[in-house]
Parts: sequence; C-alpha cells; structure tokens
Amino acid sequence: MNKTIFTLALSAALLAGLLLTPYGVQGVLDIKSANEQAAESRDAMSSNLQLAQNQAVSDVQAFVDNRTFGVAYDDVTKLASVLGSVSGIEILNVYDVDPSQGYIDIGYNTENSKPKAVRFELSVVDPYVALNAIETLQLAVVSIEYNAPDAMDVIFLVGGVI
Amino acid sequence: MADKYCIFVDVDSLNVLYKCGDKFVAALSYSTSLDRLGETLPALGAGFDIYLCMKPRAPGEGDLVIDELSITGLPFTVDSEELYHLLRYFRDYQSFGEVYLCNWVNNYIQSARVQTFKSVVYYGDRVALIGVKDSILEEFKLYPSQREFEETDGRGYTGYGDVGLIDIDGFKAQYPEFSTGSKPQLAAVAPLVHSYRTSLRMDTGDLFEKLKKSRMSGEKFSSTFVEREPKPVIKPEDPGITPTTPLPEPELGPELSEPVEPVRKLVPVITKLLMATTCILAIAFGVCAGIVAKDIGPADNTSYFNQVQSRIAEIQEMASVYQQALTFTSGTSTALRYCQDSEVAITILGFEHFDDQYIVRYSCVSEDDCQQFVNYVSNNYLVVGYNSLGVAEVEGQTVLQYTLTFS
Repeated sequence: MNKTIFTLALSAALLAGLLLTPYGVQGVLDIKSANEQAAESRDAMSSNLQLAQNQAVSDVQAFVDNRTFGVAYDDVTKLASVLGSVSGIEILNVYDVDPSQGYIDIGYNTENSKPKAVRFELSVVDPYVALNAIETLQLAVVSIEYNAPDAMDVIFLVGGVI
Repeated sequence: MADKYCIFVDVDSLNVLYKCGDKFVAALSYSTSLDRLGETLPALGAGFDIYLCMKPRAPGEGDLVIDELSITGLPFTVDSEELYHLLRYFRDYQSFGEVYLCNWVNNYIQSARVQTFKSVVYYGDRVALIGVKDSILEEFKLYPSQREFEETDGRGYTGYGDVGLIDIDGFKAQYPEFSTGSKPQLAAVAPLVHSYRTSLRMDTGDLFEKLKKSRMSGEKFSSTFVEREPKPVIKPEDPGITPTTPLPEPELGPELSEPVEPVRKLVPVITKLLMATTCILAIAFGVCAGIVAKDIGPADNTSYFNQVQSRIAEIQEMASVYQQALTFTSGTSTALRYCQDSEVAITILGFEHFDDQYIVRYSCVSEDDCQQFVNYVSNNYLVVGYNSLGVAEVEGQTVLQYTLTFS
C-alpha cells in the first residue's frame, strides 16, 4: 500500500465515520449555521442591552440635572423625614421593593439597605395635599395608589437603573 | 618467542581448533557464543594464523566465485558481502598473522579414508548429498531437510553422517593429542585439521583489499564476480537444490549476519496492520466526533435571550420613569381631580396611577351613572376599558362597583 492509497483510504475512512454518525454531516453543518446565527443574535442582543443602559443613564442624569429640590432623590431617610413633616401626611411604613419583580416588597427599608426602589405607605388627610408634597419632592415616581379615604402608597426609584 | 598459534575455524558450525607449535591443544565449539571467540582471540597475546574453513554456497546462491578454492564439480561460490564481513571480523584483531580461506568440502573429501563414496552431511540447516569417485566430486545436491532426502533420493540409503568415513585410528596415530577424542568429535575437526596441510587454501589479504575497494567504489571487481542468477522456482516434486531457501550461513553474530528472514517478512505485514488499524481508528474518530457534535447541538440561546430581553425591558421601564418623573405626580393630581369633579353620581373608592395609565375604582347606584362616568372620562382621556367588580351593600344601599382604566 503506497502513501497515496493510504492517504485516500484514510480520508475516505474519516468521511465514512462522519457519515455514519447519527447526526451526519448535514446535521453538523446545520448546527454550525444555527450556532453562527445564534452568535450574531447574541451580539445584537448585547448591543441592544448596552444601548438601553446608555439611554437610561442619560435619562437619570437628565432627571438629576433638572431637579431643584434640595434633598437627593435617593436619600430615602431624608425624603421620608421631609414628607412626614408635612401636615396631614403620616408615613406609616417604608418598604424596599424590587423593580425586577413587579415592585413587590422585599423588606423594610433600613439605613443599610441599598434598594433600587422604595414604597412609602402613607396616611393622608387630603390626597391632593399629599400629591402636591410628593410633586415638590421631585421623586422618580413609579406609581401612586390612593385608596379612599386616607390611604396612599407611593413607589419611587432611588437606585438608578443598573 | 612463544610458539605461533594456528586457529582453525569452521565458519558454519563455529567449531574452533587451536594449534600451538606442533600440537593441537584445544578444540572448542562457539556455536552458541561468538562473542566468547572474540574474547579469546585477543587474549592469546601472540601472532596467530587463522584458517577459515568455509562451505561454498550452491551455484547461483552467491555473487562471487573464487577460482583458487574451486574444485571439480563445485565452484567455490560465496556471497561477497558475507565474505567481506567475515574477513573484517577476523582481520580486526591486532595480533593476527595470516588469514586463510579454505574449502570445507574439499577438506572433507580429502579427510575420508576411501576415495569413492557417497555421504550425506548437514550443510547449514539443509543436508547435502556428496558423491565422490576417485576423490573427485561427482555429485552435489542440497535438500531442504533430511526428510526430503529420504522421501526422494534417500530410500534405502544407510550412509548418513561422515563418522565412518574418517580413518579414526590413523588420525589418532598421526595426532596423539586426539587419542581421547570420540569418533563424532574427531569427524567434526577432521576437515579443520586438513586445512593446515592442504594446498587448496587462499591467503585473503589481497581478496579483502579488493572487497574493501569494491565496496567503497560500488563496483564489482575482477572477473571472479559473477552475476547473481535469478533463483529458480523449485517444483514441489524437485527435492534437489532449493535456491529459494537461502544457504544456511554461519552464525557470526549480529554485526556480521544479515537480518533474519522471518523478521524481514514480518515488516510489511506489521506495516499493513498498522495502516489498517489507523483506518479503523479514523472511522472511530469520525463517529465519535459526530456523536460529540450531536450532543453539543445548536446553542440554546432561548434562556439567554429571554433574560436579556427582560433586562432591557426593565431598564427601559425604569428609564421612562426618570423621563416623566417630574410631571408624573401632577398628572395624578389632574386625573384624580378630573374624576372627582364629575357631576355624575359616583363615588371614587380608589385611584391608581402607573406608567401612563390611570385606574379609577368607583361605585354608583345605576349602570347609567356608570356609563355616564365613562363617557365623561372619555371626553378628556382615552378610555382603555372598564370592568364590573360586582355589587356591594353600602349603608343599606346596593351599589355597583367598577374599575375604569384610561390614559
């Protein structure tokens, strides 16, 4: 058996081996194509994520720049203090909430907690007074829920977007 | 000065005879250990002549014919390469004198006590039928084995061996140092002893030099070289000389002997086996590669995509919060006030604002009132929908409760 015949035999054996697999050569090529497309999609998705993050950062910065109130929007303790000092508004509880899970409560807010959002549970005499006070604080309000006659919940962001 | 040594070597059987002065002093066999001969010769410490007693190859099995050693009926045919290594082996010892080459067949014939006879002797791993008439070789045939000889030309033949041919008594009388030797021992050394007194011997000095030059130049030298004839195909029924079976060669050690034939035959077989094994392994490799590729399969990005999309949606949602943060609460106040300012007989039970949607939960006593309230809201907002929450009893009065979603 000379080298040429041996080389041809070896190549044929390799090809036969690939053809004999349960998946076959075409299957392997399909997998390769699908993986390439998936890689492109992943790249596009990563790019979209980066764009969204950049836009959000820009929006946060614009919000911060436009605020004129003297207490930072993420200083929960001071905000609660200011809001609680308004006549007709009583802060019943302050909860940390999770924006990624529909803003469900994840526990009471403490000085050590670093939430992305909080919920103020208020008791209000006049909802319009409360709403006016909240507007004055210039919070990044997510939602406001008023239940007559005196219950009001306010959820607002305090931790950026990332 | 010590007596000069003569050393007689049967290059086929490696029986060696030592002669010191007028007497033979030792007869040893090195058939199982050529290295010991190589150790013995230098240890002798004095100059010695070497007599190489060699059986010629069958005609056609060698490439060199030495006329000086040929006898009638049997040219002295040797393989030049084999002879070169043989001579080089013995001439390498520093203390040698002369190295002579002798014809074993001639010595055998001359050692016989009769002039006409037929004898069958071992010739390497074959047997040779030697027919002699008046001390002249008339018949020389090689057989692959003694059985082959018996089944063909040897029926009824009883003259195996050469023990009876040697005149043992005369031999012992001439050489008293062999008086204690047995017949087989003396028969084995008789051709060697005859090497000393025969005129059919050749000083190998010139021959070795010519062989050496021939090897260096790559050319054949002198007319004594003959072309190697193609080996004839031996028919099964021909028990005679079988050139396809190489003439047995003396065991001269690894550096002198040619590679063993079975090993030479095994090489291509092993090579083919290796190639076949490689092909099988290649198939197995291909199958395994395919299976591995199948197991890997297309990358499943579903989970990754869902995760990233969810993250993007979350970020965009939070970003929109910041975008409308400064106007969000005022929108709540406006919408709530708009609902409360309605002249329709409804009671606002709750109000919720998230994203850009408002949900007002209210009660009324009639469906008309509910519908009027919807119409009222729709005058200023986009009504998304409203749902009935059922009826309730408030202060003894049955009321209808609804939610209205608008933006």
